[in-house]
Amino acid sequence: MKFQVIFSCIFSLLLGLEQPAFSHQVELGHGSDVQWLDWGSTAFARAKAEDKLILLDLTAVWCHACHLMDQTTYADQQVLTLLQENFIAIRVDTDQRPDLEARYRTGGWPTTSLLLPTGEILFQANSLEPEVMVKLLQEAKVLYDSEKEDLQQQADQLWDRVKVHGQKNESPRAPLRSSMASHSVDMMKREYDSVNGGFRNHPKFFEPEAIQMALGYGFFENDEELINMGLMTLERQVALLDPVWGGFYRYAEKADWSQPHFEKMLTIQAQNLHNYVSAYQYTGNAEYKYISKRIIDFVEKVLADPQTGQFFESQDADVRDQDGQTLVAGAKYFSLNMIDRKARGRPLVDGRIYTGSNADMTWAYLYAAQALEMPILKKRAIQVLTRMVAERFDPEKGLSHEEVNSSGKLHGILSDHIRLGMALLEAFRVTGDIQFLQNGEALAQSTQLLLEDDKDGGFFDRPDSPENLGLLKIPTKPARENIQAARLYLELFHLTNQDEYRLTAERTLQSVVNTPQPLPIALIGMAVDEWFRPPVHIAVIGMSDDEESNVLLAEAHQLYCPGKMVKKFNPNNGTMKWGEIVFPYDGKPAAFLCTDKMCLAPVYQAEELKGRLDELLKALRETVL
Amino acid sequence: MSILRIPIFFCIYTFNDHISLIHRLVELKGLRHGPNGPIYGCFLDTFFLFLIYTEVGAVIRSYQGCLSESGRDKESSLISLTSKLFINPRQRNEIS
Repeated sequence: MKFQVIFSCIFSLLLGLEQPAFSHQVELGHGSDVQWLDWGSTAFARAKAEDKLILLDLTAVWCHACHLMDQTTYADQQVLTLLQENFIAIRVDTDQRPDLEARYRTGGWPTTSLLLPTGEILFQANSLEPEVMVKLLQEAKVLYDSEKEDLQQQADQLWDRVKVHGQKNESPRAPLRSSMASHSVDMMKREYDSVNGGFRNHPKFFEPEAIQMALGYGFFENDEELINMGLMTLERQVALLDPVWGGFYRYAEKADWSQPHFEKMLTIQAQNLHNYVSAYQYTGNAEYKYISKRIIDFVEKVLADPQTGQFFESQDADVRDQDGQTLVAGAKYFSLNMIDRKARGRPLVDGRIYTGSNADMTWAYLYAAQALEMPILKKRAIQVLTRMVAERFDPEKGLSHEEVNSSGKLHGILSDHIRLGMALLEAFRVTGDIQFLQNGEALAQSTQLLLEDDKDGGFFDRPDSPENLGLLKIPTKPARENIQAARLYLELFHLTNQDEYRLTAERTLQSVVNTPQPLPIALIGMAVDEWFRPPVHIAVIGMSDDEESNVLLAEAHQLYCPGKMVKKFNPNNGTMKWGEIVFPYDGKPAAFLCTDKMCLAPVYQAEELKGRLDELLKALRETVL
Repeated sequence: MSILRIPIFFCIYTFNDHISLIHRLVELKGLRHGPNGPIYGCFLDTFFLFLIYTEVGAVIRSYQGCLSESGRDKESSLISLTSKLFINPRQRNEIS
């Protein structure tokens, strides 16, 4: 395998080399003279009192098209006058308000919406040039003035429909079928780009769950075609790795992964790190390890907060001046070598620290720490996780999405809860520290209390509140987060053996497959497969100070086997029981490969573990799906 | 050109059509298009997507879902559920 990338310069904080200085302050609205208001009661009260339509700009600090619109459309005098006189202008950062993004984003960023004063959507588009915006604002004003009552009537119908839906009887529960996993795989294979790797034609986005599913399901089912799809995609998408600083860009416009969009997001680094580490574990190919380290280099150098150890959200694509004017566009800048980049300045880093993406990074670090034998990553992850739980979690209010001046903002976002829950369970797996499991359980219980749909199962994306404005009043159960929630509760069941977690996972999965919405097929396939496939248990038996058993334990952690659970038992501590299995001890360290109901004969040498795992998988293939 | 009052086109596409159409619009009109997310699919029979777009190619709204054999009811309930309201009285009948 040859990666199509030349790394012109390697520098690493971990290797003790120079750390480039980055600015960590990005504010929305640079380059625009619009008097933007925040989403909230003040803006809505003004819209109502002044009887004006709302212009909602859903934007992002890293978004190139948004910057351009600031410098053109929102700097245009005619647009400014129209907005000033006839509209209430609200600007929302998509990363700060995932709940608003879920309801108001269409297509991409920016999403430009015209709303009634009560927040219902009248019109939506993405980037608009000044003359188009002028026309839109003029016509919208005329339309609103002339047909206000009719528009309001139709808005009322929306709320009638929401109300009727809320009063409907409990939906029948669809049974889960193991064939859904293989059906997902079939769909993945149909969408696979066999020329360039990745899925579909263009643009090319990362599909981390599809790679996880390809490797994991292919591994369990011995499906070579699927595994090669995952590995080839990992190989080809390296075209989006920054050759100088490391870290992955956001996406490519072309099918062959060319013409990148250069912004770098924290979550993309986390998901890719996890997948490259998996590929390294699976194949032993050092190039995957190398790519993993290039991601870690970037995160530690650019996105790590030196004061708290937490992680910043993103790095911009362009180099901009203090007024937001683009000095060097990303396409030009990221083609330069390190010295020339230094001479041109730095793309800004959004210094906000969000709960969900920080959880993603700790989850990936914990996984990588073992496979790459980098204990520093475990230390870093635990530092961040401990801080997040201490500062951001209130069982009654839920997690806060971010902290501003030591005060939590936006509590109880489902996505934050699930991602931090996943990270806490990974921390428990890696460290064995029961505190992480207890925190994970407390978070899971808080999530049910705040967000679970008692009637139909599944979880809403944010808590209901009489103070919710606009479309926030619409209860929403997003498929992606609900599938992840089901996976979290299933894992809790495997870790605690408490049946209520299994029932919650089942109810949640059923509620997802029962809806007529299209589902992320790799993710739902993975969740259904996990539901039907018992996790592999690796039990290592030996005294605590026994070197041989520690070697067995280390090898057990190194083995690629998604969802595997590793435990060490000390014969001096009483009965060694896991699931329905009670392990014997014949005086020498051993490792057993099992499910919760059956075991193969023990192995005594670390190098025998892989072969015994293959035997177990073969036996499971013949009995499970 | 009028943005709010031009006829809109109301189309039903299969999944693959949707992807290629969106990309074609991006290419032809230079529209900025964000992530279209992971591969989506259905365990029911058909993936559908309604695109409502203007003559300049801007996608105003999209509704997507899955249909079973007797899927018309599901389709209308999905649109109710989606609940992102596009209001233009003169075009409303074409949507519903």
